[in-house]
Amino acid sequence: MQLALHFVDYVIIALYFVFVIGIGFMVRKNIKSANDYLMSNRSIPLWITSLAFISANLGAQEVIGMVASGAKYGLLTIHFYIAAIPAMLFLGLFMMPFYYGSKARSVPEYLAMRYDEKTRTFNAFTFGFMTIFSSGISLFALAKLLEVIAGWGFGVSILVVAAIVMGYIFSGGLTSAVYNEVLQFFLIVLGIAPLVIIGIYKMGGANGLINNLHPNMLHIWSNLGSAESNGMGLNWWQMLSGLWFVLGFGYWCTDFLVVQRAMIAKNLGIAKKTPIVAAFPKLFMPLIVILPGLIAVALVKLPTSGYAIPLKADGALDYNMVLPSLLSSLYPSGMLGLGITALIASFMSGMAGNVTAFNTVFTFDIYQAHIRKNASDNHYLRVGKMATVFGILASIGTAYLADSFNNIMDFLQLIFGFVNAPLFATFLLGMFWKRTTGSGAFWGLIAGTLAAAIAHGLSLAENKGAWLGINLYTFNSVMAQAFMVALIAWVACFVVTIAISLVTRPKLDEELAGLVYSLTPKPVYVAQTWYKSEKVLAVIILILTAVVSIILI
Amino acid sequence: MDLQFIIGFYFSLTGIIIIANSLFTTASNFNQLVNFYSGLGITSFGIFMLLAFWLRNKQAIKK
Repeated sequence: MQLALHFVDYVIIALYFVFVIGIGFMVRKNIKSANDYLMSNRSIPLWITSLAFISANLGAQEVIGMVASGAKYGLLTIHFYIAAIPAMLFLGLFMMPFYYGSKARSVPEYLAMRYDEKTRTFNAFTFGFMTIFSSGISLFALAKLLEVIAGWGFGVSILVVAAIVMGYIFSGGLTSAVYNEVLQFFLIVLGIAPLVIIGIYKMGGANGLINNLHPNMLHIWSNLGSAESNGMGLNWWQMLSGLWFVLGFGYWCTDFLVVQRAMIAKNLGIAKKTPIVAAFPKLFMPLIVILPGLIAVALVKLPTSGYAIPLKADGALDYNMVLPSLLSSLYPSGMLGLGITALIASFMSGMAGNVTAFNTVFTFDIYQAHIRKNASDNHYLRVGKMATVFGILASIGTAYLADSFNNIMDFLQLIFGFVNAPLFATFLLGMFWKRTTGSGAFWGLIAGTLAAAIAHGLSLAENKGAWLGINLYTFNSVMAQAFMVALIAWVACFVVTIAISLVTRPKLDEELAGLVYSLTPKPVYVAQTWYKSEKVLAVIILILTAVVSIILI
Repeated sequence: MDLQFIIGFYFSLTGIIIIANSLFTTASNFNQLVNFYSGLGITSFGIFMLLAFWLRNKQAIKK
């Protein structure tokens, strides 16, 4: 499915490349220390941190994946957005005071302060491994997409994109990555919003769109009565416990890639407000990333549209190509260039976000913690830059590995789930129960990860899993299996952490001040105008989320 | 180096390119309209960001 790109489209794409590299070079003069390079010197204002917070999660796999999911499952996909909101609010109101207040430079460093070095090191290595592979998979997916839609060589795409990302991250560090994430956010909105408007216009308005969709595609709660009543193969319990609770809180509250965007805020107030303010555009993003999927399904039914969802080689519908095919079908040259630029920007941003998170964790949590503790700041600045180069090169290697082994992406997604799922239990207990010990946290994480692997090995879904040779339970879908495996991992981590903490010695209260809720002085309440109060903003977004849920029930 | 200025400048420029493409190509009427109005919306956003940057700077100078 090759898109007909014209000169104007290439001009628009080239203009974006010039600007992103330009941002990197202009930020470069402000980079004087490791703190500037890796933590933006904690100087970023609220509008940038909040947009970067949501944009860090808007990689192209998300954009393309959510459009695909919208086409396949309908509005049920919206759970991936609304489930994030309680977690984002919890992070802002209850966890940021500890992440930011502890002056930790990374999530693993908070674990070192709260628990011990072995817990930090386990998290640092697993996170570092995951970010490099995520970055490589972003690069692979982009190169594959450009090969299909633009006819660009796989190797050429990888090298050009990697060089551009290296250019702006090496010179401008985290600030450059964050600034580009904000640019990318607006690109995605402005690049895809016209597509939604054109699509609804072609369907004869919102009613025309709704009338051409199966009713099951238009509800988000009433079709969760049983796993057989919806395309995702999930029931309400699996959705709430697996996605809303374990994976939602596990990702939004503990993944350093997104949390880092709040940790670089100018002050604690902004750090707390970052995820709360980000929740507002998060709630409305489904209009941009899920609605196109619904429009595609409706357009197929419209005889005059001439649109069809592309097919894979085996004749099955290729939902991952819905967004590129909609761009091709509905956009003329000019806007097509902008749409493709938005896609490229989201892939590059995903890669850059992972590399900047990696270089911070490597420099502070691996190199400084274990290899060279008391070097000069300039030394760590150089290490951070070398970690950037290594991260990009490792991403290129991973992209080629993904090209050689088709199943590696599925395998890595699985491993990510195993490692991420128990983490929230570790943080929840660490921040709110002073009795939790380092040994409890470490063995709880190990137990949670192993429990996830074992649960997956003993269950089957869509012919995947049960690799331990026994199938104890068959799930209706891979998604249901992933959610329940995550729940099992979380429970295992929670129980083992408590059990081992009760028989091991905790840190003294003086060592935990500022790190645990009960040992941290509560701030004195200062009257604020309502729109400056994080609690009022949180209540407003919760009410809006509830309204959306009721309307789409 | 202000991000608001960069974003305003980038989208203004991109929007103008898209509008110009709509005016100087032989695309169908519908496609020309898509490019024109989309470009207008994008340019408007860019100008809005530039104005916001200018106003913020003006207020900062007054203080």
